[in-house]
Amino acid sequence: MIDGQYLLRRIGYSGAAFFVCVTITFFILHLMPGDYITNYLLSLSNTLPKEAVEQFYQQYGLDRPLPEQYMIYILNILQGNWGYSYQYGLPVFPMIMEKLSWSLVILLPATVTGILIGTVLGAWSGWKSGGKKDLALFNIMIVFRAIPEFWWAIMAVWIFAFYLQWFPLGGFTSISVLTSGMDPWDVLYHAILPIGLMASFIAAGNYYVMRNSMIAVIGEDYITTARAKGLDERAVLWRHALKNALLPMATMTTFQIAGIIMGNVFIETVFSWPGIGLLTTEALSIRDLPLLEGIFLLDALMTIGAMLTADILASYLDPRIRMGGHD
Amino acid sequence: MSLLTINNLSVQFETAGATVPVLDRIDFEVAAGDHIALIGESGCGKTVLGMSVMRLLPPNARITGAIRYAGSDLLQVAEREMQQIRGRGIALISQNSVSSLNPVVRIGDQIAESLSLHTQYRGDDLRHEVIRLLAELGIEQPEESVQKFPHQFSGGMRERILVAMALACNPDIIIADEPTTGLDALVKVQILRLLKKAMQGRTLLLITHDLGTAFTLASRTAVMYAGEILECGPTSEVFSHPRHPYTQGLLASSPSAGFHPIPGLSPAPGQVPSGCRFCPRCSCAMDTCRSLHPHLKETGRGRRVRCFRYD
Repeated sequence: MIDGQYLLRRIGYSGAAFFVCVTITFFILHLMPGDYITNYLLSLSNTLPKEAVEQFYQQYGLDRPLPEQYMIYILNILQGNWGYSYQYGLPVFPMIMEKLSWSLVILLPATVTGILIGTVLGAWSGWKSGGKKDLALFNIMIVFRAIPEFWWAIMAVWIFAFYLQWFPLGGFTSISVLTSGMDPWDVLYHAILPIGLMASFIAAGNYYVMRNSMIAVIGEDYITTARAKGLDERAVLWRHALKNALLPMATMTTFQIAGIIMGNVFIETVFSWPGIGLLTTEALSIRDLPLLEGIFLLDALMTIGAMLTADILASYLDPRIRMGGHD
Repeated sequence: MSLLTINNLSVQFETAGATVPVLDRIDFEVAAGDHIALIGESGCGKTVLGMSVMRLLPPNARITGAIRYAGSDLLQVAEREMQQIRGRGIALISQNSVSSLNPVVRIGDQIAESLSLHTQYRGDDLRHEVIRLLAELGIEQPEESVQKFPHQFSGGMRERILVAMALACNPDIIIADEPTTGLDALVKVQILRLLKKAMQGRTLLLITHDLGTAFTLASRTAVMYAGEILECGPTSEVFSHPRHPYTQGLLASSPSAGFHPIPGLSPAPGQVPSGCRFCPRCSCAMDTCRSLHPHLKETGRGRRVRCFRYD
């Protein structure tokens, strides 16, 4: 159950945490060696006219002292102005939203199915723990998860796209987009391979947590109590074991859903998917500070929101947890 | 007429690389209306004996012998049939009141569960029966309590809830495994009083290491050591005139008798001596005790002892 006053206080703390995140991000990004001019326009920077370089610094306020830049930045984001990208000259927020929507196309279905499959398999495996089928599945999952995601992505492209030619090699749409416009089926056709791969990978991760949680639960005394009442195994599983085993999953899942916003750099790179992960690496390599600040600001917002959600969710799922502490 | 007869029951646990015997050829009878206590140190196999009767031992347990109840051998009946017996024929009051209740299920539902499984109570009748049981066992405000979760009750109240769950379907036999563990002295006395009242006219198999609990609740007592019964008989007799040196040591080690511990440790399962299992710790061990294994012998007045001194 939730105490209203406590919730308000919690939201206040979240605001403070957000402010700290934004501040740290700002200073770390500004203290990084190099800047847009030297990193991106490296070949040009020596030949660029001094006036042009100075004009760039002036235009973006980079010639002012860092504390002053910071004040301007904070005042701006409070007013909803996230600044302009150096590279594209476009406002940061709509840019992020556009790339994010592409990330969501693959990450949302992958995360949701991954969580569901992982949880179901983990619950089953944990319930049957020690059996031959459980051990077989467990070992498969270990091998699968132990090898990095990008390696599997490359293998998937090589086997299913290059060798079998069931799926395209990469990208999010066919060249026909230029003549006949965007076709949702065509996008889906491009998305299946990255979605499938990511879903399997997420499933393997959640499988472990759920399996361990289930194994811990079936050793509990209340499971013996339930059996001693004469309940059959199905009832013991559904009414007593599952509810308890799912508790740790709730928190994990909340963070996974929130994490969607960060995109997936490896998958987006291997499959040339124009998502937020790819945007982040690009912005990082050319020191596009406003863009990076915007991306990290959104990450901080989502992570802090997820923490709050996880706490509220836990207090509903587990009667022992009472937000506010006093009973 | 015995209600439950245990014949030649042996239990072994198969662990990685070794088979560990835990119970060795136990013979044992529970008559209707009997209140029997199994006492012994931790690890002597008393809980395993209780769980064998419920057939709730982990899958690596190898059980041989027979447990006769209601005309069938519980070790042979199908799992479905066993589920019918659990809770209704034989009920369990589990060991730990803190962990034996499901933390995320309302206690009313946890009690109603066995009722709806084994009785005709449904809907409002079921609710009223649950409330009646809670009231009978001294839970305050039973109407509100059914909506509560286990953590909202004190240890003593949780113990009462566990007893209510066991009594719900009016079972023939109640197995109570350490019903007073983890309770403070005052609450323990209350629970013992409550159990004594609740067990009137019922059959109880009490498993405990606490001599006081056994003395209060049981009319007969069996003393277990290293997987076998060393002595059994009427509780008052066993406690006032213990015959087996182990029982004598056990009684002398209780705080009220001056706290004189038995020297040595009880053998780890699988490492029991070949002769009398207690002889390495026994002050009156003879040569025979080291070489031969004694049998449980009648010594008169309903008592049996496993010791060569009574040959």
